[in-house]
Amino acid sequence: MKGYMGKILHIDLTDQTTRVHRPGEDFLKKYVGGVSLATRLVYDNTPKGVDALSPENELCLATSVFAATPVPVGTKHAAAAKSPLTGFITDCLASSYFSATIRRAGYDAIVVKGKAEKPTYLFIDDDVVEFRDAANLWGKETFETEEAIRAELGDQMVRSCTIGPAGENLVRFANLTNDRGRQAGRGGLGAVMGSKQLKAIALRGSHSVEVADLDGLCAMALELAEKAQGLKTEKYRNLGTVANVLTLNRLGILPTRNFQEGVFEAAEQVSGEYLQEHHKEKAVACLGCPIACEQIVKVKEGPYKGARTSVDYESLFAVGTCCGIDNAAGIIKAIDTCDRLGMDTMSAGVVVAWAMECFERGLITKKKCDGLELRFGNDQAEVELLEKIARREGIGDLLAEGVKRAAEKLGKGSELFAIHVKGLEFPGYDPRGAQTFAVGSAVGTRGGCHNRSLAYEADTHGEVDRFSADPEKGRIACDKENLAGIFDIVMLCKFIRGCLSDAWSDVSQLYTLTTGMEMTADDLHQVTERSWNLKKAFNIREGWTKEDDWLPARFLEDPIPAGASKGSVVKPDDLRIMIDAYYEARGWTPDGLIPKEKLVALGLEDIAEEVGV
Amino acid sequence: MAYQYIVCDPDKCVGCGLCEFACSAVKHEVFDPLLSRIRHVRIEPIVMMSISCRMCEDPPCVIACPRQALSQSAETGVILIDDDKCDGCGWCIQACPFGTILLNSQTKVVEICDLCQDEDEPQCVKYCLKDALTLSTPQVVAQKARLDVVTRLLQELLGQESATA
Amino acid sequence: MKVTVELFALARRLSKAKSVVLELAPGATLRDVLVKLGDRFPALLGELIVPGSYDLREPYVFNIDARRVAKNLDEEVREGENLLLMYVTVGG
Repeated sequence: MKGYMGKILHIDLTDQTTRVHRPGEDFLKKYVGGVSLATRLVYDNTPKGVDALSPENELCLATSVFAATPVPVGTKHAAAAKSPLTGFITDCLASSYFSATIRRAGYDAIVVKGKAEKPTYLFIDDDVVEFRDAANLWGKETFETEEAIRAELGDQMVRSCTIGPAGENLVRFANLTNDRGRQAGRGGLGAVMGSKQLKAIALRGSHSVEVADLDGLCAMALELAEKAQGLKTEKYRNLGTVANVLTLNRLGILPTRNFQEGVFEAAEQVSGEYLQEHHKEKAVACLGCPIACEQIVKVKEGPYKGARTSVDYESLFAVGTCCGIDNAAGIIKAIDTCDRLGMDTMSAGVVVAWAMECFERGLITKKKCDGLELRFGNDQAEVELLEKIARREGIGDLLAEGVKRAAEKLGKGSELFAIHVKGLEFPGYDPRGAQTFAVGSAVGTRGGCHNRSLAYEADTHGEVDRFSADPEKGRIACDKENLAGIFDIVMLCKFIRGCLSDAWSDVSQLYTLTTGMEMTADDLHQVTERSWNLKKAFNIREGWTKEDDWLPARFLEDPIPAGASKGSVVKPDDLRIMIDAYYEARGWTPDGLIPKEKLVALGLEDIAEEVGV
Repeated sequence: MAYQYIVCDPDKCVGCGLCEFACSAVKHEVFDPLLSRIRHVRIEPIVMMSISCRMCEDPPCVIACPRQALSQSAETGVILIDDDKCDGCGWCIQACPFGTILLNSQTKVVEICDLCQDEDEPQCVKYCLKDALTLSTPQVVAQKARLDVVTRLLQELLGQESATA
Repeated sequence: MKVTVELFALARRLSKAKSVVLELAPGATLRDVLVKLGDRFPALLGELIVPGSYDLREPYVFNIDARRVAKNLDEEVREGENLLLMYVTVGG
């Protein structure tokens, strides 16, 4: 079998045992890889109703066929489990050397269950799996841990995904970090590993990767890589995703001060353009990527001197404009802090923003904040608060629960401005001025997510009128999800999408060149539909109801006060119509449930009884 | 005489590693950094460079080999390996200060960059989309550095002149 | 009539300007705007604006008054409009 390694490694931390499962070509071709494979593994291995922080929650890492090959932007892996933040599935994407090394160690996927007796890290060295003592690593920051493991094992080729103190302390939005700056960010997988007392998964591999049509694949890879040097990727290469700041600000949908506003008066000072001029060191790439979008920035002077990390738009908005921070150095420091401690910048920023609004409204006192003046714009307070959250100190303990739980605990009406969908803190596009994203974010299976949805593209690229609500937007949201899904399944970074003449046929061609297995565009449509339905099925099994597909009150009740999107709001009736249209496009019932026949038609007959209607 | 070798500009290199894939593919028809004669080194977050045999004028690997299995082409500077004599002892690997010799664990014989003499062009250069890799000589590299620095100096002078004008 | 062209990212980098007010004849289209823009900032020609045809290179678009994206360059512009020369990224 070319293209796949053919093995899934199962590890039990409780018993310290392992087993290798060879799923066979049919299974691999059916689920292909990435989030689809990871979701299937989660569904099959994690029992219904378990606590996400219990030993029974299984962490599933899955690659696809392009990792460790020169297919541009193809070296990625997915990581999934039941989310401690939402209680539903969370599926994350990360890339670079760690992803490649899963395959080079001989595996398509790795599944970890159980709980170690004491802090442990796994060292998977081809066929050998070691359960190693992590006493010296516990407490270390993310990258620090990676380096320490390399030093201990004496080999630079060892790649790890690690948790930081946030994961150790079960912060519900703690992340997994690999290759210094790549994160499986959202939904709290870091807490899942922390609950297993698993500090890191270290890998080394000596397998070569073979493909079916080497010359054909290399030729197509080179062609794509050349296209990736053109205008379609210029924004990523030059400014990076932070170029979004000024454009979204101009469109009036840049989340500002906990989504109270859509325009930030200090946008220029925290823009991608500003970062490039004052802070940028270099743009670097993941393994296998000829674009190089990762903008490494550094603070050279002042109180945050030395802060150094890569900055992407979503991180910037969340800890920056959403918290009213008007200086780039403070934002870089905040992101660097989250990265070191192993926390999702997006969730952390939006939680802090909520806390700031609580403070300004007098719902929490300075005393409760351990003396912090938690006002919008106070970067110093934010940075200190992020440390507290990671260590669950003082008010950090409340915020570490995520904005949904924190608001439920605090009450006093703070739930009304806890900006999340299903418990996942909201991303950086105000849906009031992007109605396709309004439905796209409401229905997201892991929560409101720009990346899994891509619906905001229809709004910002002018494919539709971004201010009007209509059923067509529900259908568009479904189509965008399916397209996004394919990238997450075969595993290609979405940044290459502009370089493909037709995503469906280009992807199927790449897949066939790699594996030798036929895969048509129609096959791919089935694969992505199957994956979305499987994600939904898991959520239904874990208690999803229609009420979970909705938007925070702020978006429904408070019109954007100023800017190009002034006066915009998401009307509940409109949202209902658009969500209903989305369910219909998905072939689901008006309650958003999946008919049994649909599951059977997608080859998911084994779960039709359990979750189908 | 100046031998050509693969030069990597660390400012242009972004760490994509396509060079390693290209090399193992053309030499062994698989993707495997352990079978690539050009190796990428990355020191997070911004130091990155790929490195391969530099065709030393007085190669320490040739001198070191206890079985005289290595020799150097007078014409190209490429290190030639006698497969029959090489027993995989790895002494040349230790002798090379750049770490650019690999031991193939299957054939048990060492391999070194030969500038893709069987191909139209070095494949690593072909797959480097950032123009970080070039086939060059130390003299040309030095010449470029001189030209770059003088151009920059002159531009600054020009800049000052027009500001005061 | 006067319109304001606002420049973002690559357009800003090439022109070194954040915005510019252009004087246009009545009935002028977005393509005419690009002609004027190319005259004013020759650096935009080639990379962003196709010389000769004055097409806008994908994926750049004109966003009118930050409310809607223009469907094509034959659209007529109106007095006082703000024309955003921009492209919004995927993901972040």
